[in-house]
Amino acid sequence: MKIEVRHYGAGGRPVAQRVELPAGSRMHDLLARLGLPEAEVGFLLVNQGDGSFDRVLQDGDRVTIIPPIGGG
Amino acid sequence: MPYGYNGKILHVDLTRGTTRVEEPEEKWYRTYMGGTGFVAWYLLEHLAPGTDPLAPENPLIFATSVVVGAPLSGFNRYVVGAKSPLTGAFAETEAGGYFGPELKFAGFDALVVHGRAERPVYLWIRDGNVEIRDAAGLWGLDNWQTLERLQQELGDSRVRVVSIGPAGERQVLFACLQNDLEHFNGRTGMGAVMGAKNLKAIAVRGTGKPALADPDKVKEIARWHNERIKSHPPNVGLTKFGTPGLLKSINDAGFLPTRNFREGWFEGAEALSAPVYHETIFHSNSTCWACAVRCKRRVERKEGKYPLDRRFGGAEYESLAALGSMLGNRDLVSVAYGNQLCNLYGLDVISTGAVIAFAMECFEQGILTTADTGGRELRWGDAEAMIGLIQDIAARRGLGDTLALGVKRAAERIGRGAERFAFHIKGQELAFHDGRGKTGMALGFALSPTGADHIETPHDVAFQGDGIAKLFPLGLFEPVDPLRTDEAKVRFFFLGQKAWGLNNVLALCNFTSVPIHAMTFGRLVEAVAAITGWDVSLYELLKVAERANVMARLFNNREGFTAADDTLISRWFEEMPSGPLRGKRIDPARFAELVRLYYEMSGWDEQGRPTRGKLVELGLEGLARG
Repeated sequence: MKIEVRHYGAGGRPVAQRVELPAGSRMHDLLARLGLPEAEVGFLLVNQGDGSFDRVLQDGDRVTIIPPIGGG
Repeated sequence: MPYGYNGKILHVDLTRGTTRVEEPEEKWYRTYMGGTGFVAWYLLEHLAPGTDPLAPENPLIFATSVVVGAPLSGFNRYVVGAKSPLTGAFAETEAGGYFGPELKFAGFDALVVHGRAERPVYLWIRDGNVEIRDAAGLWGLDNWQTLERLQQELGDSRVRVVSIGPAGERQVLFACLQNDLEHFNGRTGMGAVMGAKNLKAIAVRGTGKPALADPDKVKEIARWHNERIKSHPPNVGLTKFGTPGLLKSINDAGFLPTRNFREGWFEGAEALSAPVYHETIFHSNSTCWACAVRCKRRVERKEGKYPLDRRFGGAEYESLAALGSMLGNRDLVSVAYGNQLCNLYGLDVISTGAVIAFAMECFEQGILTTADTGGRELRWGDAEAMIGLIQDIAARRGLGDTLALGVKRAAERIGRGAERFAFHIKGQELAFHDGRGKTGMALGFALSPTGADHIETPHDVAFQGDGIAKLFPLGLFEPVDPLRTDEAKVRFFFLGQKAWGLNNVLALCNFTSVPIHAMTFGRLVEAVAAITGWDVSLYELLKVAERANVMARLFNNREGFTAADDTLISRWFEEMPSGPLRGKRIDPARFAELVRLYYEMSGWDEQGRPTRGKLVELGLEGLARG
């Protein structure tokens, strides 16, 4: 299945990519494929809804990843 | 019968040695609800304009809210306020921990301290009773010694204590308050106000609990919330890494304040980051009353020249930036030790780091020399110099006595052009988020009634792309670009500010109750209704937040603050010299236009004064006349 990923840093323009994953893959599989440690994930959305690390992804899902760069 | 609150406000007059209990009507509670609202109301009612903040007439207000004491994660903070000795403006500063709910359990929704005791005293509040007790034996003790002594004296290890350390006693203008050694009302110098009152500590113990209107519903929301906290990524991250987890990403994004806001990227950030923190000094998590997030860090290190004790509160993100990147210091253990000293002495670590960074830049520029520093060289990255200055500030010794005034007044005293390196807004040092990378947050810094404050404003970055979905309930649908300075950015800030400000009214924690975290707007409204029995709406709650902000604005207007004070530091108008945001700057004329647009949206005039129409809408026309 194909997952659309948008990974934000600062500046409003994400790094966008399409990732091919086996059916039944979960969010943490996607993050592992991206080489992104959990510590660098602040906030996850799937198709504008809340995402979680163990969520099962579906073909065509749009995943937004925002690092922990908010207030302290 | 009230639900969620006691209906009682405790007033203590230290000059006369008297106490009284005020019982406001329900309408008052529903109009102001708590926190900032209570603080602003008492300041407008009780303080004459122009009063010296360290005079007995400045009331020191400890405010919970109508929801504090309910067993929900993140619902149990409290707000301390007065006129700030650091800024001369409205002051409020929030803390978590256990003191807020304990005050509610002891029968009071807020405590207002008036006057000044002749000799050092502490308050002992127990289940509706209050005593003003002699504190001669506590004066001079640090916060840890004070807590231990009070628990022994009162024969109860479960007594909750707010205290000041030596910094507050000596009226360092950014002295803070602490409770249980790990929780701090850090900003705006409330420790100096408490010290000026000769009030060393407040001990509280309560065994009652305000009734809840719908206890089953509150339980159901608490279960849902705590379950969600376990899997919702921002909360999972806070549980695992705490706020230190922010540092690496903030540096990677290019807005980690470095060497006195000169740069936004620190080459030594890796050494201060969460993985290193966990490998070297982390001991365990800690938390606040009833909170499942457990974001607080305990640290420990038994050997070496910087021993760390797990009882004294571990460094947060702001501490790592304050005593790390801001000083060019990559020695994590020294940063944690400096943070521990600030906690024991009762110094706000944000202002402490900022004032030391100011001194180091002045030294680099030749404005300060070893003749001013008692022979100490103040070089970027020198941990020993940092530790020495913390001790000197707390003791008000040598250069420390000047730095104890905060950067604005220290620069005035030093002269020789030092003000070019003294970065503050309305007199308060900035928290460590570079506005060139978050222009909405920069609006918050400029417009906060307390001076630069990072808590009462949304941080743009989380609402990029689909992240904006979290703000759909506010009517915001356009993804945020953190760097833009346009009308959409003012709309984002204008609406977001009310949602964030609500947390300071209800004394909620941003780490559960701002939109990216586990609580949602819908469930928050349900929770307030279930606790209080009031048929509240999100509209009503946001109006309460706006009312508190407008009251704080009225307070500042009558103290002489104008539109000219709603600005940023000069460095953010210059190009970022390095890092991922190299070349980015905020145009000052454009920024001033955004501020004026915010006034227009708010119903304020060109000088930032709320119009009569706005005051009447919020029911504040009577207070404004005061």
